[in-house]
Amino acid sequence: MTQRVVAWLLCTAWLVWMQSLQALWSRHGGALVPDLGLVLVFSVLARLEAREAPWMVLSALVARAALAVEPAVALAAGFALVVALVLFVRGAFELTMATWRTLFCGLAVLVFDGWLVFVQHVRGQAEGSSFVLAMLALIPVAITSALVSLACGPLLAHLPGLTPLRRRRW
Amino acid sequence: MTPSRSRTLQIVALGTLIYASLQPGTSLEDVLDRALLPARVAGELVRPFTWLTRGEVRAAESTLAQSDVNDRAHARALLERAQAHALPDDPELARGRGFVHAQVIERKARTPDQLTIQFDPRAPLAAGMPVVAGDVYVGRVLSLSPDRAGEALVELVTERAFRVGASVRSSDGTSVELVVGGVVTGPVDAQRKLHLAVHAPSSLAVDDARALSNDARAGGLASGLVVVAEREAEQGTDVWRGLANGYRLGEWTRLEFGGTSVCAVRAAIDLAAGPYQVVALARPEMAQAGTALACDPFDAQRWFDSRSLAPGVASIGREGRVLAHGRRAGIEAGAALRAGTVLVGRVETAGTWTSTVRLVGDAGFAVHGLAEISGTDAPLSLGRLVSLGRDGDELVFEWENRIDADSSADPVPTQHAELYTGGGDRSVPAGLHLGSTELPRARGEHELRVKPRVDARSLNEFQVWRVVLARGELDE
Repeated sequence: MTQRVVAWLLCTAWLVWMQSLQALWSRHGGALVPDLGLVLVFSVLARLEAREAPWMVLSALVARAALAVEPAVALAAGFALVVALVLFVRGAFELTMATWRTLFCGLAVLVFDGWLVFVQHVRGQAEGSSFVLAMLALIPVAITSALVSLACGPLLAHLPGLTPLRRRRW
Repeated sequence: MTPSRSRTLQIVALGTLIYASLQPGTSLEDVLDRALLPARVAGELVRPFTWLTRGEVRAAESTLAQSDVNDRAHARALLERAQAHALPDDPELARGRGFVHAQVIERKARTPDQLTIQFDPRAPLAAGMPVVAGDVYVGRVLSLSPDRAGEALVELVTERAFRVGASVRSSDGTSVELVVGGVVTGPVDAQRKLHLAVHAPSSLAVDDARALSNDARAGGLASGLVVVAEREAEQGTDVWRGLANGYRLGEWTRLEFGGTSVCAVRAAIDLAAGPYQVVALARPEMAQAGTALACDPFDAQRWFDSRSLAPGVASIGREGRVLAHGRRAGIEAGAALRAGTVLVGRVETAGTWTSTVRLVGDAGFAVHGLAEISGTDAPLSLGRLVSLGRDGDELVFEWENRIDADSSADPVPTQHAELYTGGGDRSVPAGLHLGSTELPRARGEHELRVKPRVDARSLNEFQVWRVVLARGELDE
């Protein structure tokens, strides 16, 4: 039990650092910025017990809320959507395999960041900017994230302290 | 719990989160904000990353520090010039009066005939004082804010129940007395100008001001010009009324409604679109020393230091920051952030422990602008500027020019201008620098490309505007 609590705390810390790296990367803009936090979430989710998924949502939410400007409730809904999507997809595809993890990680990034763009527009916080252009701008982000997942997915899932979370029974 | 019940609960929870995401201000949002204290702690894990940007931050800060003193003096002088244009041009209207400068900071859509003004809290503003803009009568001070120092409510002459004594010279040269207040509703003339309602005129033998020649108007109080003519009172809030005598309300006119002629006053200024700078009339002995600013944008009492938790944000495509302070530290949504004399962003949401900030380059960021145009003394109020994002080092703002006339010239004529924040917003003080631009001088929508003095993304430490200064804090 203690082991798992520590693992979740460490997972949150890794998520915070991943997102800090992403924040540093995107500090001066640029289209090719991967959503590193979400790549890590995806890598862990691919190996996680389904009943522990709510903890993944909570961990990702705490880490992201510390460094994101979107409302926490929108982040929570976004992570819940992504987790539900990944759990559904992994019933049919082996998400630790290179092809599928690349494809579905890119898709997860599109769903999550697209959801946040949608919320921003519905709340009227993006006055003057085009919704379509904002969505199109996510494509390079999704592609870069997919490539990071292809190259580093297994490595991210094996970050120190995350071993207790990789106990999926097949 | 059975698997199907568990799944139903999960679907309900997801649906609730989606609904709350799309409906701002739900209680769930507030609950989550309070529950996310661990996120504030998690934010501290990021400290090492801010050290990596120390060199860049120092370079940006030293750029700002080099000209800080001069920039502050320049911004204050600009605001003083803007305020000076709210003083009467006619020396007769200045005689025997003191002036309290104020700027409009709020106008609610629900009560369009009332303005919230901000003035130097040490100024002797009182309920009942007449409020003018240049030579034009605007309304009077309704009340002082009971809990916010330096704020008052002004009732405009357009308010339905408002009444002010006035006079106009009749065609035979005698004075006609009347009462003005409220607006004429109905199908007014094609120009759709604001018409004030006339009540109980002592005579109807007044020439329509539009029929007068320019020579006849040139004399100031010419026939057809309606000016305030209030009776002096000795006590109560009415003691100030006589100070407004002689200030213009507008021009006498007649409107035709289906064969019926109605007397009205064509308003001297369009009160629906402004003004941003006004002056309250006081007795001469109450006049402010010098030209005290309605709100000093660099008043140390109104700013406090805060820092960004991380050197950027994890939000894709956004330009923002998460501040290490929230409502508990006095931060309010909408508050301006500055670095030196430069506006760098505004607080988007103020949580209990942290706040989120939109930097000026974030698409959707909005602020009121004031332009200092090369070779022109009077600064120009631009109205609202909305950020469309960034193009390289330049900020791109959407601006609707409602000031200039239509122009068919191609390309549209431009003038070099320095942009500052303008009045009209309680949360952002006027006078903070935005950048340099070429200002298009033709009516219509334009994109302004603004070169900022410093890249806001290079900064990690900011000063946050205290939107509300409580009355008790003045004595500290």
